[in-house]
Amino acid sequence: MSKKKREPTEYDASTMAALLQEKPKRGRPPRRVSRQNVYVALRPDEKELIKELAGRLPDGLVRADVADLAVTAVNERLEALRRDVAGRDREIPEGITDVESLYLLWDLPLPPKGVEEKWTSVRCSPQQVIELGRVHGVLNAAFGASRSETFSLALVLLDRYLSENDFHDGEMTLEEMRKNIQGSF
Amino acid sequence: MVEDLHTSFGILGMNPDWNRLGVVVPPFSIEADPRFMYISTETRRALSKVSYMVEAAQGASVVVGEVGTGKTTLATWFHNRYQRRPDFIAARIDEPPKRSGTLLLRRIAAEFGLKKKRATEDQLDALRKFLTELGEDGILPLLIIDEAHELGKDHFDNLRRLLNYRDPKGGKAYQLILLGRPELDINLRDAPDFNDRVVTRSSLDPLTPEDTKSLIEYRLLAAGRDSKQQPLFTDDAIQAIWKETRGYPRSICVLGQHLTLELLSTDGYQIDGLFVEKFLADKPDYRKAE
Repeated sequence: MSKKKREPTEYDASTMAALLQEKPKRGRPPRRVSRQNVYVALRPDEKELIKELAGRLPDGLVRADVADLAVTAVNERLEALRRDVAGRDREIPEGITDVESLYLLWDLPLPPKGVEEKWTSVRCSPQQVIELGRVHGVLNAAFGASRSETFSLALVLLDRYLSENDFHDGEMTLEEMRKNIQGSF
Repeated sequence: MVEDLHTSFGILGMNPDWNRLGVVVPPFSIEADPRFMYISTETRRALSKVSYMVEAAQGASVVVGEVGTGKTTLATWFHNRYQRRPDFIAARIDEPPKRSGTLLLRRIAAEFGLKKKRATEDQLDALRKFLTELGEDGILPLLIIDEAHELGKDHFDNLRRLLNYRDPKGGKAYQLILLGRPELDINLRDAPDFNDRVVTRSSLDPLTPEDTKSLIEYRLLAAGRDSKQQPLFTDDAIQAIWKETRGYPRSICVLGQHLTLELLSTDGYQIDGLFVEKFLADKPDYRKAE
Protein backbone atom coordinates (compact mmCIF):
# COMPACT_ATOMS: atom_id res chain seq x y z
CA MET A 1 0.00 0.00 0.00
CA SER A 2 1.57 3.26 -1.06
CA LYS A 3 1.76 6.15 1.42
CA LYS A 4 -0.59 8.99 0.51
CA LYS A 5 1.26 12.19 -0.20
CA ARG A 6 0.45 15.13 2.13
CA GLU A 7 -1.17 18.12 0.46
CA PRO A 8 1.14 21.18 0.59
CA THR A 9 -0.07 23.93 2.93
CA GLU A 10 0.59 27.67 2.99
CA TYR A 11 3.10 27.13 5.83
CA ASP A 12 5.32 25.07 3.60
CA ALA A 13 6.04 28.20 1.62
CA SER A 14 8.34 29.78 4.20
CA THR A 15 9.99 29.10 7.53
CA MET A 16 8.57 32.34 8.95
CA ALA A 17 5.01 31.27 8.15
CA ALA A 18 5.61 27.94 9.84
CA LEU A 19 6.93 29.66 12.98
CA LEU A 20 3.91 31.96 13.16
CA GLN A 21 1.49 29.06 12.80
CA GLU A 22 -1.06 28.66 15.70
CA LYS A 23 -0.15 25.42 17.39
CA PRO A 24 -1.92 23.67 20.28
CA LYS A 25 -0.39 24.80 23.58
CA ARG A 26 1.46 22.25 25.67
CA GLY A 27 2.18 22.24 29.41
CA ARG A 28 0.55 24.28 32.17
CA PRO A 29 -1.92 26.94 31.07
CA PRO A 30 -0.56 30.47 31.47
CA ARG A 31 -1.99 32.34 34.47
CA ARG A 32 -1.82 35.95 35.53
CA VAL A 33 -0.43 34.84 38.88
CA SER A 34 1.50 31.62 38.81
CA ARG A 35 0.48 28.82 41.16
CA GLN A 36 2.67 27.27 43.80
CA ASN A 37 3.39 23.67 44.68
CA VAL A 38 2.01 22.36 47.97
CA TYR A 39 3.22 18.93 49.06
CA VAL A 40 0.63 16.60 50.57
CA ALA A 41 0.29 12.85 51.09
CA LEU A 42 -2.83 11.53 49.38
CA ARG A 43 -4.53 8.13 49.37
CA PRO A 44 -5.29 6.55 45.99
CA ASP A 45 -9.03 7.14 46.53
CA GLU A 46 -8.34 10.85 47.09
CA LYS A 47 -6.52 11.08 43.77
CA GLU A 48 -9.57 9.47 42.15
CA LEU A 49 -11.80 11.90 44.03
CA ILE A 50 -9.87 14.86 42.57
CA LYS A 51 -10.53 13.50 39.06
CA GLU A 52 -14.18 12.96 39.87
CA LEU A 53 -14.59 16.41 41.41
CA ALA A 54 -13.08 17.95 38.27
CA GLY A 55 -15.87 16.34 36.24
CA ARG A 56 -18.49 17.94 38.49
CA LEU A 57 -17.13 21.49 38.24
CA PRO A 58 -18.96 24.06 36.12
CA ASP A 59 -17.81 24.63 32.55
CA GLY A 60 -14.75 26.80 32.44
CA LEU A 61 -13.12 25.15 35.43
CA VAL A 62 -10.70 22.24 35.22
CA ARG A 63 -8.96 19.68 37.38
CA ALA A 64 -6.18 22.12 38.20
CA ASP A 65 -8.76 24.31 40.00
CA VAL A 66 -9.91 21.55 42.38
CA ALA A 67 -7.16 22.21 44.94
CA ASP A 68 -7.90 25.96 45.06
CA LEU A 69 -11.61 25.38 45.52
CA ALA A 70 -11.09 22.71 48.17
CA VAL A 71 -8.89 25.08 50.16
CA THR A 72 -11.54 27.79 49.87
CA ALA A 73 -14.14 25.31 51.16
CA VAL A 74 -12.17 24.28 54.26
CA ASN A 75 -11.13 27.85 55.01
CA GLU A 76 -14.70 29.12 54.83
CA ARG A 77 -16.09 26.20 56.86
CA LEU A 78 -13.60 26.77 59.63
CA GLU A 79 -14.20 30.53 59.55
CA ALA A 80 -17.94 29.84 59.94
CA LEU A 81 -17.21 27.61 62.94
CA ARG A 82 -15.10 30.34 64.52
CA ARG A 83 -17.78 32.95 63.86
CA ASP A 84 -20.39 30.71 65.50
CA VAL A 85 -18.38 30.48 68.72
CA ALA A 86 -17.09 34.07 68.61
CA GLY A 87 -16.96 35.57 72.08
CA ARG A 88 -16.06 32.31 73.75
CA ASP A 89 -12.59 31.60 75.10
CA ARG A 90 -11.81 28.87 72.55
CA GLU A 91 -11.86 29.05 68.76
CA ILE A 92 -12.71 25.36 68.54
CA PRO A 93 -15.36 23.91 70.87
CA GLU A 94 -14.29 21.66 73.78
CA GLY A 95 -15.68 18.43 72.37
CA ILE A 96 -13.80 18.68 69.07
CA THR A 97 -10.69 16.83 70.08
CA ASP A 98 -9.21 15.76 66.74
CA VAL A 99 -9.64 16.09 62.98
CA GLU A 100 -12.10 13.18 62.96
CA SER A 101 -14.35 15.16 65.30
CA LEU A 102 -14.70 17.78 62.56
CA TYR A 103 -15.82 15.07 60.12
CA LEU A 104 -18.35 13.92 62.73
CA LEU A 105 -19.53 17.45 63.48
CA TRP A 106 -20.17 18.17 59.81
CA ASP A 107 -21.57 14.68 59.07
CA LEU A 108 -18.82 13.86 56.58
CA PRO A 109 -17.74 10.29 55.83
CA LEU A 110 -14.73 9.36 57.97
CA PRO A 111 -11.47 8.75 56.07
CA PRO A 112 -10.46 5.07 55.86
CA LYS A 113 -7.65 3.96 58.17
CA GLY A 114 -4.49 2.08 57.26
CA VAL A 115 -4.51 3.01 53.57
CA GLU A 116 -1.11 3.82 52.13
CA GLU A 117 -0.57 7.45 51.15
CA LYS A 118 1.82 8.81 48.59
CA TRP A 119 3.43 12.21 48.59
CA THR A 120 2.42 14.38 45.70
CA SER A 121 2.26 18.05 44.87
CA VAL A 122 -0.91 20.02 44.25
CA ARG A 123 -0.77 23.49 42.75
CA CYS A 124 -2.60 26.32 44.47
CA SER A 125 -2.90 30.06 43.90
CA PRO A 126 -0.82 32.15 46.32
CA GLN A 127 -3.91 33.27 48.30
CA GLN A 128 -5.04 29.66 48.70
CA VAL A 129 -1.55 28.62 49.80
CA ILE A 130 -1.83 31.24 52.55
CA GLU A 131 -5.36 30.04 53.46
CA LEU A 132 -4.26 26.40 53.60
CA GLY A 133 -1.34 27.40 55.81
CA ARG A 134 -3.68 29.30 58.12
CA VAL A 135 -6.20 26.44 58.42
CA HIS A 136 -3.39 23.95 58.88
CA GLY A 137 -1.89 26.20 61.57
CA VAL A 138 -5.17 26.32 63.51
CA LEU A 139 -5.83 22.57 63.26
CA ASN A 140 -2.22 21.75 64.03
CA ALA A 141 -2.22 23.96 67.12
CA ALA A 142 -5.57 22.55 68.26
CA PHE A 143 -4.85 18.86 67.77
CA GLY A 144 -1.65 18.32 65.84
CA ALA A 145 -3.25 17.90 62.42
CA SER A 146 -0.90 17.59 59.45
CA ARG A 147 -1.14 19.56 56.22
CA SER A 148 -2.18 16.36 54.41
CA GLU A 149 -5.03 15.76 56.89
CA THR A 150 -6.13 19.37 56.40
CA PHE A 151 -6.12 18.97 52.62
CA SER A 152 -8.02 15.65 52.86
CA LEU A 153 -10.71 17.41 54.90
CA ALA A 154 -10.76 20.16 52.27
CA LEU A 155 -11.40 17.65 49.47
CA VAL A 156 -14.27 16.00 51.38
CA LEU A 157 -15.84 19.41 52.06
CA LEU A 158 -15.61 20.32 48.36
CA ASP A 159 -17.13 16.94 47.50
CA ARG A 160 -20.03 17.68 49.88
CA TYR A 161 -20.46 21.17 48.43
CA LEU A 162 -20.59 19.90 44.85
CA SER A 163 -23.04 17.13 45.85
CA GLU A 164 -25.40 19.72 47.29
CA ASN A 165 -25.09 22.16 44.37
CA ASP A 166 -25.47 21.27 40.73
CA PHE A 167 -23.31 23.34 38.37
CA HIS A 168 -23.64 21.22 35.27
CA ASP A 169 -25.51 23.76 33.17
CA GLY A 170 -23.50 26.91 33.79
CA GLU A 171 -20.13 28.34 32.97
CA MET A 172 -18.22 29.99 35.76
CA THR A 173 -14.87 31.56 36.45
CA LEU A 174 -12.71 30.45 39.36
CA GLU A 175 -13.45 33.71 41.17
CA GLU A 176 -17.21 33.28 40.77
CA MET A 177 -17.03 29.73 42.05
CA ARG A 178 -14.99 30.83 45.06
CA LYS A 179 -17.59 33.48 45.87
CA ASN A 180 -20.31 30.84 45.62
CA ILE A 181 -18.49 28.63 48.12
CA GLN A 182 -17.83 31.57 50.44
CA GLY A 183 -21.51 32.48 50.44
CA SER A 184 -22.64 28.98 51.28
CA PHE A 185 -21.19 28.68 54.80
CA MET B 1 -20.25 -9.71 93.23
CA VAL B 2 -17.25 -7.49 92.57
CA GLU B 3 -17.52 -6.46 96.20
CA ASP B 4 -17.69 -10.20 97.10
CA LEU B 5 -14.44 -10.81 95.33
CA HIS B 6 -12.85 -7.78 96.96
CA THR B 7 -14.17 -9.04 100.31
CA SER B 8 -12.78 -12.51 99.78
CA PHE B 9 -9.42 -10.96 98.96
CA GLY B 10 -9.78 -8.97 102.19
CA ILE B 11 -10.73 -11.99 104.33
CA LEU B 12 -7.68 -13.81 103.10
CA GLY B 13 -5.64 -10.84 104.26
CA MET B 14 -4.80 -9.97 100.65
CA ASN B 15 -5.36 -6.89 98.58
CA PRO B 16 -5.61 -7.45 94.84
CA ASP B 17 -2.04 -7.24 93.59
CA TRP B 18 -2.76 -4.94 90.65
CA ASN B 19 0.98 -4.51 90.10
CA ARG B 20 1.09 -8.07 88.83
CA LEU B 21 -1.10 -6.96 85.92
CA GLY B 22 1.11 -3.93 85.36
CA VAL B 23 -1.54 -1.45 86.52
CA VAL B 24 -1.55 0.91 89.49
CA VAL B 25 -5.33 1.26 89.94
CA PRO B 26 -8.23 -1.10 89.15
CA PRO B 27 -8.68 -0.68 85.38
CA PHE B 28 -12.39 -1.55 85.14
CA SER B 29 -14.02 0.61 87.80
CA ILE B 30 -17.63 1.46 86.85
CA GLU B 31 -17.48 4.90 88.47
CA ALA B 32 -18.23 7.71 85.98
CA ASP B 33 -14.62 8.86 85.87
CA PRO B 34 -13.72 10.94 82.79
CA ARG B 35 -10.08 9.83 83.09
CA PHE B 36 -11.22 6.35 82.14
CA MET B 37 -13.68 7.53 79.51
CA TYR B 38 -13.11 5.65 76.29
CA ILE B 39 -14.26 7.80 73.39
CA SER B 40 -15.87 5.65 70.71
CA THR B 41 -16.86 7.14 67.37
CA GLU B 42 -20.45 7.64 68.56
CA THR B 43 -19.28 9.31 71.77
CA ARG B 44 -16.98 11.55 69.78
CA ARG B 45 -19.86 12.49 67.47
CA ALA B 46 -21.98 13.40 70.51
CA LEU B 47 -19.11 15.36 72.07
CA SER B 48 -18.42 17.39 68.95
CA LYS B 49 -22.05 18.16 68.10
CA VAL B 50 -23.18 18.97 71.64
CA SER B 51 -20.14 21.07 72.53
CA TYR B 52 -20.51 23.01 69.27
CA MET B 53 -24.19 23.72 70.03
CA VAL B 54 -23.35 24.74 73.59
CA GLU B 55 -20.55 27.12 72.59
CA ALA B 56 -22.54 28.58 69.70
CA ALA B 57 -25.36 29.28 72.21
CA GLN B 58 -27.93 27.32 70.20
CA GLY B 59 -30.03 26.03 73.13
CA ALA B 60 -31.02 22.46 73.95
CA SER B 61 -29.11 19.29 73.02
CA VAL B 62 -30.28 15.74 73.69
CA VAL B 63 -28.17 12.59 74.16
CA VAL B 64 -29.96 9.25 74.46
CA GLY B 65 -28.55 5.84 75.23
CA GLU B 66 -29.50 2.61 76.93
CA VAL B 67 -28.42 1.81 80.48
CA GLY B 68 -24.64 1.45 80.69
CA THR B 69 -23.73 3.20 77.44
CA GLY B 70 -21.82 6.02 79.16
CA LYS B 71 -24.34 8.85 79.54
CA THR B 72 -23.33 9.74 83.09
CA THR B 73 -19.64 9.66 82.16
CA LEU B 74 -20.44 12.03 79.30
CA ALA B 75 -22.41 14.29 81.68
CA THR B 76 -19.41 14.34 84.03
CA TRP B 77 -17.11 15.14 81.12
CA PHE B 78 -19.23 18.12 80.02
CA HIS B 79 -19.59 19.36 83.60
CA ASN B 80 -15.87 19.11 84.36
CA ARG B 81 -14.83 20.77 81.11
CA TYR B 82 -17.23 23.70 81.26
CA GLN B 83 -17.01 24.22 85.00
CA ARG B 84 -13.35 25.18 84.71
CA ARG B 85 -13.92 27.58 81.82
CA PRO B 86 -14.09 31.23 82.92
CA ASP B 87 -16.66 32.00 80.21
CA PHE B 88 -19.11 29.33 81.44
CA ILE B 89 -20.97 28.53 84.63
CA ALA B 90 -22.04 24.90 84.70
CA ALA B 91 -24.68 23.26 86.88
CA ARG B 92 -25.60 19.59 86.89
CA ILE B 93 -28.73 17.78 88.04
CA ASP B 94 -28.29 14.01 88.27
CA GLU B 95 -31.81 13.06 89.29
CA PRO B 96 -34.41 15.65 88.38
CA PRO B 97 -37.37 15.99 90.78
CA LYS B 98 -40.21 13.96 89.32
CA ARG B 99 -43.26 15.67 90.73
CA SER B 100 -43.54 19.09 89.11
CA GLY B 101 -41.90 21.62 86.84
CA THR B 102 -41.76 24.14 89.67
CA LEU B 103 -39.65 21.79 91.75
CA LEU B 104 -37.30 21.46 88.80
CA LEU B 105 -37.03 25.26 88.54
CA ARG B 106 -36.23 25.44 92.27
CA ARG B 107 -33.59 22.77 91.84
CA ILE B 108 -32.05 24.65 88.90
CA ALA B 109 -32.03 27.84 90.97
CA ALA B 110 -30.34 26.02 93.86
CA GLU B 111 -27.70 24.50 91.53
CA PHE B 112 -26.88 28.00 90.24
CA GLY B 113 -26.70 29.26 93.85
CA LEU B 114 -29.94 31.27 93.74
CA LYS B 115 -32.62 31.48 96.42
CA LYS B 116 -35.63 29.22 95.95
CA LYS B 117 -38.97 30.96 95.38
CA ARG B 118 -42.35 29.57 96.26
CA ALA B 119 -44.24 30.65 93.12
CA THR B 120 -43.32 29.42 89.63
CA GLU B 121 -43.44 32.89 88.09
CA ASP B 122 -41.22 34.35 90.83
CA GLN B 123 -38.70 31.56 90.29
CA LEU B 124 -38.74 32.09 86.54
CA ASP B 125 -38.23 35.84 87.06
CA ALA B 126 -35.27 35.24 89.37
CA LEU B 127 -33.72 32.82 86.88
CA ARG B 128 -34.31 35.19 83.95
CA LYS B 129 -32.60 38.04 85.82
CA PHE B 130 -29.68 35.79 86.76
CA LEU B 131 -29.25 34.34 83.25
CA THR B 132 -29.42 37.67 81.44
CA GLU B 133 -27.01 39.32 83.88
CA LEU B 134 -24.49 36.53 83.29
CA GLY B 135 -24.97 36.96 79.55
CA GLU B 136 -24.15 40.68 79.85
CA ASP B 137 -20.89 39.70 81.55
CA GLY B 138 -20.05 37.32 78.69
CA ILE B 139 -20.67 34.22 80.80
CA LEU B 140 -22.81 31.44 79.38
CA PRO B 141 -24.76 29.31 81.87
CA LEU B 142 -24.88 25.59 81.09
CA LEU B 143 -27.34 23.20 82.68
CA ILE B 144 -26.79 19.44 82.38
CA ILE B 145 -29.66 17.13 83.34
CA ASP B 146 -28.86 13.42 83.62
CA GLU B 147 -31.66 10.81 83.79
CA ALA B 148 -33.72 13.26 81.73
CA HIS B 149 -36.11 10.48 80.66
CA GLU B 150 -37.79 11.12 84.01
CA LEU B 151 -38.86 14.61 82.91
CA GLY B 152 -42.49 15.18 82.00
CA LYS B 153 -44.49 17.73 80.02
CA ASP B 154 -44.60 20.20 82.95
CA HIS B 155 -40.80 20.09 83.27
CA PHE B 156 -40.26 20.57 79.54
CA ASP B 157 -42.67 23.51 79.55
CA ASN B 158 -40.63 25.34 82.19
CA LEU B 159 -37.34 24.51 80.46
CA ARG B 160 -38.83 25.89 77.23
CA ARG B 161 -39.82 29.13 78.96
CA LEU B 162 -36.26 29.52 80.17
CA LEU B 163 -34.99 28.90 76.62
CA ASN B 164 -37.01 31.89 75.43
CA TYR B 165 -34.67 34.24 77.26
CA ARG B 166 -31.88 35.68 75.11
CA ASP B 167 -28.36 36.83 75.83
CA PRO B 168 -27.23 40.28 74.58
CA LYS B 169 -25.84 38.74 71.36
CA GLY B 170 -29.15 37.13 70.50
CA GLY B 171 -28.22 33.57 71.47
CA LYS B 172 -30.10 31.51 74.06
CA ALA B 173 -29.55 32.85 77.58
CA TYR B 174 -28.63 29.37 78.83
CA GLN B 175 -27.51 26.10 77.30
CA LEU B 176 -29.11 22.81 78.17
CA ILE B 177 -27.87 19.24 77.75
CA LEU B 178 -30.38 16.48 78.45
CA LEU B 179 -29.08 12.92 78.80
CA GLY B 180 -31.40 9.98 79.25
CA ARG B 181 -32.61 6.59 78.18
CA PRO B 182 -34.42 6.26 74.82
CA GLU B 183 -37.76 6.96 76.57
CA LEU B 184 -36.59 10.58 76.60
CA ASP B 185 -37.27 10.79 72.86
CA ILE B 186 -40.79 9.45 73.42
CA ASN B 187 -41.44 11.94 76.25
CA LEU B 188 -40.20 14.77 74.07
CA ARG B 189 -42.84 13.95 71.47
CA ASP B 190 -45.45 14.84 74.09
CA ALA B 191 -43.86 18.28 74.46
CA PRO B 192 -43.68 19.50 70.84
CA ASP B 193 -43.03 23.14 71.80
CA PHE B 194 -39.87 22.13 73.63
CA ASN B 195 -38.98 19.43 71.12
CA ASP B 196 -38.86 22.06 68.35
CA ARG B 197 -36.14 23.84 70.30
CA VAL B 198 -33.85 20.81 70.45
CA VAL B 199 -30.99 21.63 68.07
CA THR B 200 -29.08 18.34 68.09
CA ARG B 201 -29.81 14.75 69.02
CA SER B 202 -27.11 12.17 69.57
CA SER B 203 -27.36 8.53 70.47
CA LEU B 204 -24.85 6.37 72.32
CA ASP B 205 -25.02 2.90 70.84
CA PRO B 206 -23.39 -0.28 72.20
CA LEU B 207 -19.80 -0.81 71.08
CA THR B 208 -18.65 -2.92 68.15
CA PRO B 209 -16.13 -5.75 68.81
CA GLU B 210 -13.33 -3.43 67.58
CA ASP B 211 -14.47 -0.67 69.94
CA THR B 212 -14.72 -3.23 72.76
CA LYS B 213 -11.08 -4.12 72.20
CA SER B 214 -10.13 -0.44 72.10
CA LEU B 215 -12.07 0.25 75.33
CA ILE B 216 -10.30 -2.59 77.17
CA GLU B 217 -6.89 -1.50 75.87
CA TYR B 218 -7.61 2.14 76.72
CA ARG B 219 -8.76 1.27 80.25
CA LEU B 220 -5.60 -0.77 80.88
CA LEU B 221 -3.43 2.01 79.49
CA ALA B 222 -5.22 4.62 81.64
CA ALA B 223 -4.68 2.38 84.68
CA GLY B 224 -0.94 2.40 84.03
CA ARG B 225 -0.25 -0.72 81.96
CA ASP B 226 2.62 -0.43 79.52
CA SER B 227 1.36 -0.81 75.94
CA LYS B 228 4.58 -2.70 75.08
CA GLN B 229 3.60 -5.58 77.39
CA GLN B 230 1.91 -8.61 75.87
CA PRO B 231 -1.89 -8.08 75.67
CA LEU B 232 -3.67 -8.90 78.95
CA PHE B 233 -6.75 -9.97 76.98
CA THR B 234 -6.29 -12.11 73.88
CA ASP B 235 -8.45 -11.46 70.80
CA ASP B 236 -10.64 -14.50 71.47
CA ALA B 237 -11.16 -13.29 75.06
CA ILE B 238 -12.33 -9.94 73.75
CA GLN B 239 -14.67 -11.67 71.30
CA ALA B 240 -16.15 -13.72 74.18
CA ILE B 241 -16.53 -10.58 76.33
CA TRP B 242 -18.30 -8.76 73.50
CA LYS B 243 -20.65 -11.71 72.97
CA GLU B 244 -21.49 -11.82 76.66
CA THR B 245 -21.93 -8.05 77.16
CA ARG B 246 -23.40 -7.16 73.73
CA GLY B 247 -21.01 -4.19 73.67
CA TYR B 248 -22.50 -2.23 76.59
CA PRO B 249 -19.55 -0.35 78.13
CA ARG B 250 -20.68 -0.76 81.75
CA SER B 251 -21.24 -4.51 81.28
CA ILE B 252 -17.79 -4.78 79.66
CA CYS B 253 -16.24 -3.07 82.67
CA VAL B 254 -18.13 -5.22 85.20
CA LEU B 255 -17.05 -8.40 83.44
CA GLY B 256 -13.51 -7.03 82.96
CA GLN B 257 -13.31 -6.28 86.69
CA HIS B 258 -14.40 -9.83 87.57
CA LEU B 259 -12.03 -11.40 85.07
CA THR B 260 -9.00 -9.45 86.26
CA LEU B 261 -9.76 -10.26 89.92
CA GLU B 262 -10.23 -13.92 88.94
CA LEU B 263 -6.89 -13.82 87.14
CA LEU B 264 -5.21 -12.36 90.23
CA SER B 265 -6.53 -15.28 92.30
CA THR B 266 -4.62 -17.64 89.99
CA ASP B 267 -1.02 -17.72 88.80
CA GLY B 268 -1.97 -16.61 85.29
CA TYR B 269 -0.81 -13.52 83.44
CA GLN B 270 -3.20 -13.47 80.51
CA ILE B 271 -6.94 -13.82 79.92
CA ASP B 272 -7.87 -15.86 76.86
CA GLY B 273 -11.15 -17.09 75.43
CA LEU B 274 -11.12 -20.31 77.46
CA PHE B 275 -10.55 -18.36 80.68
CA VAL B 276 -13.59 -16.17 79.93
CA GLU B 277 -15.78 -19.16 79.02
CA LYS B 278 -14.76 -21.05 82.17
CA PHE B 279 -15.47 -17.98 84.30
CA LEU B 280 -18.92 -17.52 82.74
CA ALA B 281 -19.70 -21.23 83.20
CA ASP B 282 -18.55 -21.21 86.87
CA LYS B 283 -20.16 -17.88 87.80
CA PRO B 284 -23.15 -17.33 85.54
CA ASP B 285 -24.79 -14.88 87.97
CA TYR B 286 -21.82 -12.51 88.27
CA ARG B 287 -23.98 -9.79 86.69
CA LYS B 288 -26.11 -9.46 89.79
CA ALA B 289 -23.62 -6.81 90.84
CA GLU B 290 -24.93 -4.60 88.01
